[in-house]
This record gives sequence, structure tokens and C-alpha cells, in this order.
Amino acid sequence: VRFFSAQVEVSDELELIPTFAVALSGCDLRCNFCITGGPSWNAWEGEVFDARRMAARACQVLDRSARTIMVLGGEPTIHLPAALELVVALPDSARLIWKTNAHGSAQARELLDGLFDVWLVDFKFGNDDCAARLAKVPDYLHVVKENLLWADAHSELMVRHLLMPGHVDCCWRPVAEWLAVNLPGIKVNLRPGFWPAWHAARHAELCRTVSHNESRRALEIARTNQLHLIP
Amino acid sequence: VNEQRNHQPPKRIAVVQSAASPAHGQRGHQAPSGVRRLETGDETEGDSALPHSELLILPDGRILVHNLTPAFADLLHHLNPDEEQITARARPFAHHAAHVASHELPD
Repeated sequence: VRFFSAQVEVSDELELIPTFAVALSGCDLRCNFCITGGPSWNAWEGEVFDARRMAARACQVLDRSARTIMVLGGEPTIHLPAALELVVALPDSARLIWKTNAHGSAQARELLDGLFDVWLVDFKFGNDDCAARLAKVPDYLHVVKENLLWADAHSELMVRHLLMPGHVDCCWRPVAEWLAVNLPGIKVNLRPGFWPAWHAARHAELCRTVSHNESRRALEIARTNQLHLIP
Repeated sequence: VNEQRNHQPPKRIAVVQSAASPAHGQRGHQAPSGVRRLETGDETEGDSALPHSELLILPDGRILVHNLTPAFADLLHHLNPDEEQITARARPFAHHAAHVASHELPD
């Protein structure tokens, strides 16, 4: 198991920052627009992960400059034993965040039950066609929705959606509508700061940032569905 | 927009806030195409010990940031104190920095 970043960051949800974010290399998805595409697609990038050493680093910053610890990737679920070792080595009082694409198995989530205070879920695609085309992942919606409902029942859930250019109606709208019906009141962070990273150029619509008009329409969709948006 | 015509992603800049070795790209985090690292000094630990943020500066003046560290949020806040999103993220840092300075840092 390797990791490619471990530092205090303030770019996540306001109520979670500053957070000590530990990013494990490797991911089960192949999002062409991944902003950490190199180490996310290649689990051999980064440095060897030592759970006890990382926990010691986390404890140091918890005392000084961070109020939460976030485990992410890539996708941390593919490194479940290492993530669990890290949790064991952390103090019980630490507020822990599991940042995931929610495409893990039922067995994986059962092993995670009760370990993390917050599940921060990237709900990336609003339909299986976009998921298959942009991330080469089959059966996306079914798996993610199941995990979202489970996470809401077992922890504090926050949902994040990275607004993609050209995907307001096919991805954001169905995501917003599903959340409104199935997870009303859940905290949602709509992020318009897409940038064309990694292999985004393989898809014509992803070769630009989100336009002002798209951001405005996305916010309208959120308001129409009475979503609980958080910064 | 240029990138819409040729399907090339815009350039971005990775800012390394502390020491880095010239060889760091071979050992761990590999800078993506289009990223220019700003390096200073010698590296004594692995790349993970180097705080880093990435910026994408757009032609219309927008700045997108990835892996925003407290120090970099503070810097951006000073450059543009009216930017609400950055201000909100710089404030916790300012609070912590003040706390650290007054109670935990050696004289």
C-alpha cells in the first residue's frame, strides 16, 4: 500500500477543515478527468504506507493545526486493511472522515461500520452510461445508491458532486433529484471547480471548465430540489 | 476558449511550499503533464512531507485550487481579501496559526 499525499488542507467542506488528508494510491475507477490521475490509476506511485507512522503524523497535526483526519485516495476502500490499521492507531477522540466514491461492496462497508464519523461520498455520475464512458465502471448507480443509503443510516453522510462541463442535465440533475427524494436534508456540496485534468482531453466536453451559465443552472436545480447545500 | 478548439487541457502550476529535491518526480508523486513545480532547497524526507497546492489560473481571472493548504489559503486571502470562499478557508488557519504562535511555538 502506498500513499501520495498527507498534509493539512482547507479545500474540503468548511465544517471539516482544517483536515489532515491522507491520500492512498490506487483506485477502482478510471475517471479520465481525475485530478490525481497518476497516483490514482497507478497504485505503485507514492511512498510506502506505514499506518503507525502515519498515525503519529496525524496526531501531531491534530494537536496543532487540524481538527479532523480524512482518509481518501484514489479510493481508500481498495486498501481496507491499511485503512483499518490507521484507524486503530489513531486516538478515539479524533474525528475521522472516510472520503469515498461509494463503489465498494457490501462486505467492505460492513467492515467499516462504526469506524468513521463522517462518510464524504463523491456522487459523480447521474447515469450508468456516463459512468461507463468516463470512468469505465459498470453498474455504477445501483452500487452507489445502495452505499449512500447505508452510509446515511450508519454515520454522518455528506455528499459531494463535482459539476462537470456538459453534464448538468445528464448527471447533476438526476443526482439532485435522487438525493431530494431518497436522502432529503442531506448535506450536499456542489463543486463547480472542475478543471480538465489527466485524460479529460479524451472527451470533447471535458476540455474546458464549467461555464457561469452551467453553474447558475446547477444551483437552480439544487434550489428546485430543496437540497441542503453546504460550502 | 483555447482549450475548446484543440482539446488540450490548460496548463497548471503546482506550488511546493517547502523543500524538494530535483529528483522527487522519480521517487513518488509525478508531476502531471503541464505542471511546473516551484522548488527550493534540499529534500530531507519523502514527497509526502512536502505541503503542496495546485493552481489553475483561467483566462477570465478565475483561480481554481486543488489541495489547498492553510498557508496557501492565507496567501490567496492576502492577495484578494474580498474573495469569500478563500476568506472562509483562511480564517480557520489564521485562528490556528495564532493559537500555535502564542502557545506552542518556541520563542
